[in-house]
Amino acid sequence: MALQSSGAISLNNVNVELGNSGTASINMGSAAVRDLFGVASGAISLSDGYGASNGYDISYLVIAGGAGGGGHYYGGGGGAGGYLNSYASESSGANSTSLTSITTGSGIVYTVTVGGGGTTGVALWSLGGDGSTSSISGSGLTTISATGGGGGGGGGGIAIVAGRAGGSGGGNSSYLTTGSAGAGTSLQGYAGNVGNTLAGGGGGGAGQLGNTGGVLGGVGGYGLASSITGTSTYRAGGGTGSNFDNHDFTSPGGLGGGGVGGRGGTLDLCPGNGVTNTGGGGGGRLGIWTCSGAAGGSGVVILRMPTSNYSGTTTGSPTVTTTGSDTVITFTGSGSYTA
Amino acid sequence: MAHFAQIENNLVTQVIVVDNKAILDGSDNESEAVGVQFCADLFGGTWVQTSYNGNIRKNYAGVGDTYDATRDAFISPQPYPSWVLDETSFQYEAPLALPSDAVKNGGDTKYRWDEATLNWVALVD
Repeated sequence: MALQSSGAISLNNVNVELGNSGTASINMGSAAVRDLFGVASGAISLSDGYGASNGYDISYLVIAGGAGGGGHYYGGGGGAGGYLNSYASESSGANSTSLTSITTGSGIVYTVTVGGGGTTGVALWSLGGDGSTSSISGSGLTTISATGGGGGGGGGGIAIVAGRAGGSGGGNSSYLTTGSAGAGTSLQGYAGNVGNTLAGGGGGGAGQLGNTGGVLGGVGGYGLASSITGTSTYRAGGGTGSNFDNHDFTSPGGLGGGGVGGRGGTLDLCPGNGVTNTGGGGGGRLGIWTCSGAAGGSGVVILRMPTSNYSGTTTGSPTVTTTGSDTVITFTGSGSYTA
Repeated sequence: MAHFAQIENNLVTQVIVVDNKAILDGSDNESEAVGVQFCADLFGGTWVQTSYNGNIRKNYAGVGDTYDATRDAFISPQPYPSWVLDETSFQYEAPLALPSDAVKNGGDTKYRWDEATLNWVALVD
């Protein structure tokens, strides 16, 4: 919050802007006040503080946990975790407009939740589990919450195993009947897609609808690229549906951490998990009972701010790096940042 | 990375990731108690550790699963009223074994469960 731009500014207002108690002792000639008011030396008055702000902007990328792939037979791919991005006008989920960054004052504690990936569908016809929510919450902030990916549909298109809705939706298989795929969450990710007779549909990604299954399993939808860490990286790809038994090909996972689909035939390939800390969905299962299944990838929360403003106060052991004049905090586990 | 499940009325409401370094005790050993306290301090509520690879408490916890404190296991929802809990895997199983020609048994016939007749129904491609 900036100081007011007209009228009488109180010392209480100045203290609060500096992150102090409103009634704390304050010296108008102190370095903190001069920095805030932009008056390096000489006379200083309260009116010099019109519009002054001690705050700074924090860009963020929040990705929820991806969903698990569906169970036997011909399970659909899991949906990617919901994707919320405010960095540098990059796309947010479902190719939507970049979100508004957090404007913070000093001393505010932001709690970061990193959602886990969803469980794989184990039993016949069972659904993959949804991913868990990732979020940022703090005083004065409307919680930024990305929805976990929707579980991949298990086996054929019977009602109880249709792909589930989520940040991105789970794919489905249309084994012998008509199935439905899970919807994506608005501004977070795309829907999954349906399968063909003997192949699961792809889970939705942050950047693309899941693909339909044909002879091969439907490839999971693309994720989205972000350079918030300083390196362009795709995340939140959908999981791929399982393949028809007798084709010795594999369908890759959706770009951005989606898991490969399972298949039978001579390859007997187990489906792949969504990649850790991408929010990628897990691949769908086929009838290979020795496979341990394909869970969703866990989510991630990344904050980026000017290094000159970085407080150095975190919990949860995030990775802290610098790129150019900015500091990047990567939370692969839950924790907090105090501005 | 460690995973912890939040439990409300014995149901899993979310599963979160926690860095292994955040669950070290004074001797630098990973401790569930430290992790539980870390989660409670950060978010409040009741937390139980789970394993992505199913190495503890039988199954990786999923949202909507039950945490059975007596069995100390995470258990997915019962898919059909007739299915019973296997006390080894803590997965629900059909009351009737799959026929010998099922894919799981090395055959090539696929089956689905029919709760109305309490039997497996072969699927024809």
